[in-house]
Amino acid sequence: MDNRFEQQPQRFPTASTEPTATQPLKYTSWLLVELERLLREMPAEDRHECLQEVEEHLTCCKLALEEIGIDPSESDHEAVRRFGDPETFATQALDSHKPARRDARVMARVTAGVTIFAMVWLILGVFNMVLVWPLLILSCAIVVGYSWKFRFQLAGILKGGILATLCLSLYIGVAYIRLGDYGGLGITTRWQVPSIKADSERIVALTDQALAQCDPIQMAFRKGEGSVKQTAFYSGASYPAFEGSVPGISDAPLYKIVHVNDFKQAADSWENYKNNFQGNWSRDGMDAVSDSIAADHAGDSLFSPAMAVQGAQAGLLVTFFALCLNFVTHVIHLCSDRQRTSRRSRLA
Amino acid sequence: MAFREDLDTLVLAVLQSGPMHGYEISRRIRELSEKVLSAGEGKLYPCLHKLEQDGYVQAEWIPQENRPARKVYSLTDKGSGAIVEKRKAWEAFATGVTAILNPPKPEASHG
Repeated sequence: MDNRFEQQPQRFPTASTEPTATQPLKYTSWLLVELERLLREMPAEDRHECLQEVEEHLTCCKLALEEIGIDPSESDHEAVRRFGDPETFATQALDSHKPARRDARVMARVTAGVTIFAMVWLILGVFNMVLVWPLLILSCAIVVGYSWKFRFQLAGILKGGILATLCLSLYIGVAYIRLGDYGGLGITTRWQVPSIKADSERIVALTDQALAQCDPIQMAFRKGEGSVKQTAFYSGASYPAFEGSVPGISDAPLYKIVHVNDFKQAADSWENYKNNFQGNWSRDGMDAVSDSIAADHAGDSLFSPAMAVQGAQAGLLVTFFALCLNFVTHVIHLCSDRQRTSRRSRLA
Repeated sequence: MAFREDLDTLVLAVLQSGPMHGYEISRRIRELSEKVLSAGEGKLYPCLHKLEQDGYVQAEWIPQENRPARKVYSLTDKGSGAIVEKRKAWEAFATGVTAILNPPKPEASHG
């Protein structure tokens, strides 16, 4: 029988605990410690059962040998010798657990995929964050949990991550478009573009109307600051011509004109705001923005390569994060394994 | 070759006589074969686990006093069916090999 235990004990890291015949059960303990190390890729529960079964086998074998008159320490040695090479046993035992390992790889891929989707949504800020945070926390917990149970699933996570990244990249490229930073539009879904355009048209019309109405009032402010302060404007009453005249920009200085205490400041603000309006929200300004967006997205009618690249970058970043998470969990588990192994060796 | 999975067959055959734990299976193989066959003890358990996964045997943990629980294996209906098939295959194989090893003696030539 091939017995590496006898032939090459130095090859094993636990050779420092190399058994001697004077210590009862030293060989059995050595074999169990060695198997625990070799079977570390097996799910924890299965590994525990496997070791328990081997321990029971060795105990039976040892008792049977003692019944025929063999010395206890010698019977311990003989039981381990009959059991054979632990490495061969571990290889075969791991092979017989392939379905569980395959399940582990599938789960690793799924969890990596979920994490990537959640994080990419978070990074791109194109989804309701109230939903994303719990999803992200849950998926990270699942990655850590599965990393603990089925360790070192780097290949599975990498494959899952790349697959999820490709899907995500394709989806983001198709579904999203960057409309430039004017008016705080930024990234938006492709199907919202028509309604955004319609809104823009409406805002331009309202802005033109507001400008025509506000300019005379602003001039009045400048001319008679002191007297105007005593009017109904100061008391906070709304000026019917202004209120709500530019929906969607209610925080604009336009509204402040009728509410703020310092009319001069309001007038200055209005001056600045008007310039900004004339720059970005005037007909010419809007046309310029539209032309700029159209130039940026020429050929993007169905797919936006820039958005797809952004999605892919984020996906790969999160894949890397999931790999790190799995690796760190593996290292922590490995350290705890070593601690258990050395404790078991000391007890033996 | 019909009997490449010989350990599976031996395990299933031994379990025909009733539920057993791993060490007992190994001992029975050695005894029944009059020590000609010896199931590699370390190889026995992966084989048992595979048979369990494939549904040929089922296992049950039996608690013991002052000792770890013992896993006892027994044949399933699928396993019982499989052993019948394996026995037929073995008999055909053994007949063929015997025929090759003991060819009929050629008749003495005349002249």
